[in-house]
Amino acid sequence: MTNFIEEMRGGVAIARLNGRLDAYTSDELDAWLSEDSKSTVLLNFKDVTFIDTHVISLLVQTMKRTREQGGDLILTDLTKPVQIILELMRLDLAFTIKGMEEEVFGVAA
Amino acid sequence: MMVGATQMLEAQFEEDLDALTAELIARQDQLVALLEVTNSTQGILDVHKMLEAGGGVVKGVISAELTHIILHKSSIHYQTDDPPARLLETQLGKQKNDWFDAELNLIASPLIVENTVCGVIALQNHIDGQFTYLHRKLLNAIAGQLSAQLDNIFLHEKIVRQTRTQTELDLARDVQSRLLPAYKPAVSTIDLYATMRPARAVGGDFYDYIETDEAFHFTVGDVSGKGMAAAMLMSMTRTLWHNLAKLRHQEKPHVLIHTLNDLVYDDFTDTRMLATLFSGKYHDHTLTYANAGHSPIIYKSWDGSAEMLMADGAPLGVLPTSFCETQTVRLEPHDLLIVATDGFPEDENGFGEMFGYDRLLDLINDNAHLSAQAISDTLFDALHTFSPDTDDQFDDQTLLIIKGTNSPA
Repeated sequence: MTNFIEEMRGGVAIARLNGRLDAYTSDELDAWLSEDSKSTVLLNFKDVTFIDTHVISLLVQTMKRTREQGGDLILTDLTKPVQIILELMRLDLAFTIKGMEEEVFGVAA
Repeated sequence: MMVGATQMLEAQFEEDLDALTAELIARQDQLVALLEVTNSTQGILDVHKMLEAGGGVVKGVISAELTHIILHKSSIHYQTDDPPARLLETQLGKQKNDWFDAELNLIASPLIVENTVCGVIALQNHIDGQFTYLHRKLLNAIAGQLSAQLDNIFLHEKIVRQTRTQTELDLARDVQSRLLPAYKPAVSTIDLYATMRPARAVGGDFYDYIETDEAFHFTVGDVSGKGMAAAMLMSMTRTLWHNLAKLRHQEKPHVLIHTLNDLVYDDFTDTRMLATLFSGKYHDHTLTYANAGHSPIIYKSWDGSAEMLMADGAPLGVLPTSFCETQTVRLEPHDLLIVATDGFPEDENGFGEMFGYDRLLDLINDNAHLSAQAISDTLFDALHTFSPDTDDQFDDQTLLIIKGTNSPA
């Protein structure tokens, strides 16, 4: 199980993820992301080493759900491996990606 | 004094003898009872029927009015009559030893499978009054026997479940492999080889090709997810691609991908899936293609180094409208195009290390002089050397290799 730290900030549900995220380690994240009450979600990838296609499907599904609810899924602090996977799949064109979590809240890093 | 002592000894001896006899009879009863329980429950693979049979024998052997059996495992609840509350606690594993309750006139013994309490058997209202210590011992022995029988049944159920899943996996694998084209196309001026090595758990890789008057069309795709669901969506996507390529063969590849995305978007959203797909079209040394998030695509011109061709659109099912565009590359004699799936670079060895893109590009540079099939064999050999244990291959591995030639292949 991958642990993640969650927080609410200005109506944004934040999860700071870590480790290797794949089909075997993402059940808790799946449940957390599937809650309809979270219409704007920010995922901080600062300590993530790998994501697989299962997790990518999960992100896509969350992106669709939040946008339908008038919110969005925001990805921040991408590590190199995560950035490469997203770029190879050209998902960087689909997701809202910010360099750092602080940028989203208008605070200078 | 002497007489008194002898009498005392005799009395003691008689008492011992009685106890010994009772013990022997008890043991005898116990053996007979166990034998009866074994005989009546053996070979019954239904939990309820087995416990009903066992419960019936127990009631007769110990002469009780009521039998309670409660089972809590794999959502099976089996109970007889109206169980006292304390039994429910034992059944939930809160009480691991046998116990008796004089007020209720009840003896109980837990059913234990794999060191876990999974239920309880109890007898209530002994016909001749109270239950004795020997009755408790006997019930314990019988509970042990029933537990062993339960263990057998659970094991059997597990095997049946596994076999069923295996059959489903076999079916999915069958669907997947049947959809792949079984022939090697003879296209003028290219040498083509395509193959797939399916993962144990069945991923969603596929490739396909079709010749029309105008061109040779080909695709490689990867539907996210595993098992039957992935195999079904894979077959749907493949069939749609095949028909679009056939019916709208004059269109450019990006039009085909846009249409495909329109067609699958809702189904993919409902099933939480997505698919990467590369769609290419070859005619007379010119290759046009569109790429919905698929990687790796490796291109090597005869006088250059192998390089990755990046996708320019998101995978199918991600955005309601696809933004893929059609790209063009020349495919002169000895130029190479290799379309693989991520199961290739992401293949892991026992040390958690990935095969990676650099290794893949180096291998292609070193072996570009070989035929399409020989390059494929070399790449799979290298993968095998990298991670020899094929049993834990996590994802499908697909290769489609096109090499430009001077003359008809």
